[in-house]
Amino acid sequence: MTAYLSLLVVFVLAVLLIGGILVLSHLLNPQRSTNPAKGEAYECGIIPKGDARAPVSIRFFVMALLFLIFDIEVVFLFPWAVVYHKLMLLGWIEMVIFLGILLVGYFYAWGQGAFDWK
Amino acid sequence: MTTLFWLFGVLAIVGALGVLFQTHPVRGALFLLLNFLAIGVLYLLARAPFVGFVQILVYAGAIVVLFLVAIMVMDLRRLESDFDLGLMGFLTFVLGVAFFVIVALVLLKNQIPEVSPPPTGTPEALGEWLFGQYLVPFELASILLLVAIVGAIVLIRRRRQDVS
Repeated sequence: MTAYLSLLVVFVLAVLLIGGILVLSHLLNPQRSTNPAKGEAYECGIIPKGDARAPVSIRFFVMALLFLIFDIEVVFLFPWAVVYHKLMLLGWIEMVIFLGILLVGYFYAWGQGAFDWK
Repeated sequence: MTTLFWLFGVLAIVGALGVLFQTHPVRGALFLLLNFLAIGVLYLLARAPFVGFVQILVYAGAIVVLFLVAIMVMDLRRLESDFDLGLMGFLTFVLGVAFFVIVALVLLKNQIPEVSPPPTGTPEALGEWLFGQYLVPFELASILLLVAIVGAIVLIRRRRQDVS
């Protein structure tokens, strides 16, 4: 457990730093009167028009989803790699089946044009 | 160690409640982040370092970021207007309460064994379990991921049909 002591120290320091900055900035902040104009986005003095929430292509979302799926696939490689010397051929076959099933999905995504930007 | 368990246990619950009761989507996602991080630390405390770090990397790192991107992409004002779930909301509530009651009954009826686990969450131990005793669930996980890929592709396909 002592191995994670450094993590705990970082955690405590982070909480203290952020808390300290928030408290200090609140104390030092001159209490000016608020004005709605101050909260607006600054666009070189031009009054902003339109909405920041413009529709974005669903492809960004699909790309992120696909990344996540292969991210999880790679996570499974870690426990496999550290015991590979014990499993040898059997472990290799097990992983080939796992990766093979996912490769089907990869080629399906490729064939459907998930990696194209049109 | 018990102190840390209570600290991060309470933080996890605070995060979960925040997700439930926060109506602002971005704040809800950040509460989810708090929940995931606290659970990651709980895994560490349960001597499962690999699971703990994967929890923080994949859940806190990737999934919450994906949620935030999805929130950014969606038109939120339209979501807020039809927030009333009607019958589905009621059913969800009933099923949720039923699930909670069942879990509570199981926990009360059965003695939870005092665990002082061997380091089962190290990558080595996990690998031996996954590629030995639990090989079938592991291979099934790949099929689950395949379904997720196909589900993601469907999003694009429907879009394309609309255009043409």
